[in-house]
Amino acid sequence: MMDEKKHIDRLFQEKLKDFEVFPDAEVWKNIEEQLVKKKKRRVVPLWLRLGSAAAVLLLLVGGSIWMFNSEKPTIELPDTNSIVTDVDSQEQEGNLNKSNELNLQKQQQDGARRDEEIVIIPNTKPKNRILKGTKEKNYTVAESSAGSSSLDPTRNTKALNETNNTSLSKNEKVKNVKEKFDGVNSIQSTETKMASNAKIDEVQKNLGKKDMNEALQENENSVALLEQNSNDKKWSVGSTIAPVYFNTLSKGSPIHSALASNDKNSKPSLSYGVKVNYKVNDRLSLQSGINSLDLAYQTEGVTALITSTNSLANETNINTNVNGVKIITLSASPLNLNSEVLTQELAANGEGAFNDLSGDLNQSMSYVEIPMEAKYALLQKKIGVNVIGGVSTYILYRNAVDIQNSNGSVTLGEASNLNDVNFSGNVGLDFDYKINKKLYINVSPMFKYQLNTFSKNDGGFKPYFLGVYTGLNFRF
Amino acid sequence: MSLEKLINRCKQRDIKAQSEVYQLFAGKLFALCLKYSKNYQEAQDNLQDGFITIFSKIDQYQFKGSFEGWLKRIVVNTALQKYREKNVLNLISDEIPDEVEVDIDETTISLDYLLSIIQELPNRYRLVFNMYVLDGYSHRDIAEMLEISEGTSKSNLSRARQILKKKVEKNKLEEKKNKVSE
Repeated sequence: MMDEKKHIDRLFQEKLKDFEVFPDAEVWKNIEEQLVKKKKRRVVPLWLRLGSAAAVLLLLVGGSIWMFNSEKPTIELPDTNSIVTDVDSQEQEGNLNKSNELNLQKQQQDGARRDEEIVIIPNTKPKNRILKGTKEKNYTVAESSAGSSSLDPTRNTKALNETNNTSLSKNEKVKNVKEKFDGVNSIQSTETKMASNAKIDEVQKNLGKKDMNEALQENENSVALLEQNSNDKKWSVGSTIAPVYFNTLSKGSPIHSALASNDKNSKPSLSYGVKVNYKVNDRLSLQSGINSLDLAYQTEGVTALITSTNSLANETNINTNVNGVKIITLSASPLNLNSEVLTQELAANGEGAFNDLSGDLNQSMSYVEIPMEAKYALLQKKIGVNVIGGVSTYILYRNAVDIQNSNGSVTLGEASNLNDVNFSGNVGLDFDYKINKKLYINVSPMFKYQLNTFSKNDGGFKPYFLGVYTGLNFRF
Repeated sequence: MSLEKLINRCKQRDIKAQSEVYQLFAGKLFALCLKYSKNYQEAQDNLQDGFITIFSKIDQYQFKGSFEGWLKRIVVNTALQKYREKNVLNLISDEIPDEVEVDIDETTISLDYLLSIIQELPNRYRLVFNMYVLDGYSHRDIAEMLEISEGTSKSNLSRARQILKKKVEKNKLEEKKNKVSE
């Protein structure tokens, strides 16, 4: 009696011992979805975020200063990266090709051995097969008679398992086709042959995958390669256009101390350019680019006193040689110079004529801006929300000061205290909207604080500008 | 890459490592789910929930004991959890039935027939049979995990065996008939 009872237990124990079944692919998809969601929900401590943002900022500042010192303030960094990556991938391909031949033989041997195994994978109606398909033999079972090696979950057999998996799905496809033509009855006998007779290029495709996997396991540097292996699009390029609004955090005038308390305002101007973005990981990306930037502000209620002589000291930070006129002083309106005294003084120096011009003083500066910024994703849905921090390098190419009133405008000259190259610290937000896998639009309000616009005598002027950068970007 | 490295990367929530672990163990664990569930869909649900639990609790795996064993325990618990929640386990009577002797010809019986008759068992019979016969749990463990008495566990087991024997016998008869008719 006991024997019989054990018998039925043993029947199940033995039959079900090395029983393996692969679930539908959708199971992993669901799991992955939930895992990614969870990962997103994980709260990164604030200090860590700030810390990493600071580190990135430091790196970027250091980098741009270094580049500036070596007199090549360009954005070659991303290019270099891409070249390195290319070389890597070429090497990788090379290796793959070389090992293909060897592995082809190996694969064929494997294939031969696989003939002895019952390796079948579920397809359209796996449920029915499992439950009711007692006569149909093609249920979802990978029972290995060659056995222990492919079932043994040690690292050596992992590659083998994977190969089996990929070949299995191939078998399945082949089998499906076969089913259509030959009907169900002949499957049992032909499916294994079909597997080994699969087109050579398909086998090679398989091999490519397998080799990559093997290489990854053996290679300690696998992380970088793994990333390369994935289909993520890491690069994107785009155009940007932004209205920018220039202003100062404090009173003060970089042109003349007398104008420190005058009202200053700014007309929005336009900045436009191109942008390159490199995705370091799911959250973090680095971006750079090149923008043209015109900044301008007005100091209201200014009088410029202009004479054709050099006789009076130039108290301004304006170099001028326009039409031979020389600015001798600027002041807040109404004219607070005693013109009679001045006339006498000028006359004593043998000069008679001077003009005074009253109006708004315009200072405008045009730069080429090279931003280097890190972007960190807070939300990655159809609409993404990111924070941005970084620095910009500015190269000055136009610099003008003019005075403007109802009669027109007169160019006085250019500011003498502007640095040819200066920097800003940038912070902002970025919202992006994915149109499709390759295209996305982004809108990014940025605050850029100018660090060293002026070489000297900034008169307490602390300039910054705000811009709302809009762009159309292409991922590749 | 060694399993240990892979596990450590999973602890850092590396999705690629998680995917590899899934690929490595999904086959065995899904087989386990099929045994403990009443159908294919339920088995997939259990596998999915099991893996979510695995990846969220992987920090708790301290490399003591086999990783596969740890995974299996989680998956079994996931499957049991469902029935505990639904409270469907208490509907079965506790009487111990007479045992029935059966002679079984092992060679003629297919794996998926065995699987299907396991799946057809009433929930608690199926769980007890799997745990005791196939996964080596003691009646005491089973009693604790299913929140039943040891006696209930034992009686469920013999009822399960009885049902399975009947079905195996019936299958054997049909096979014979088929052979004759061929």
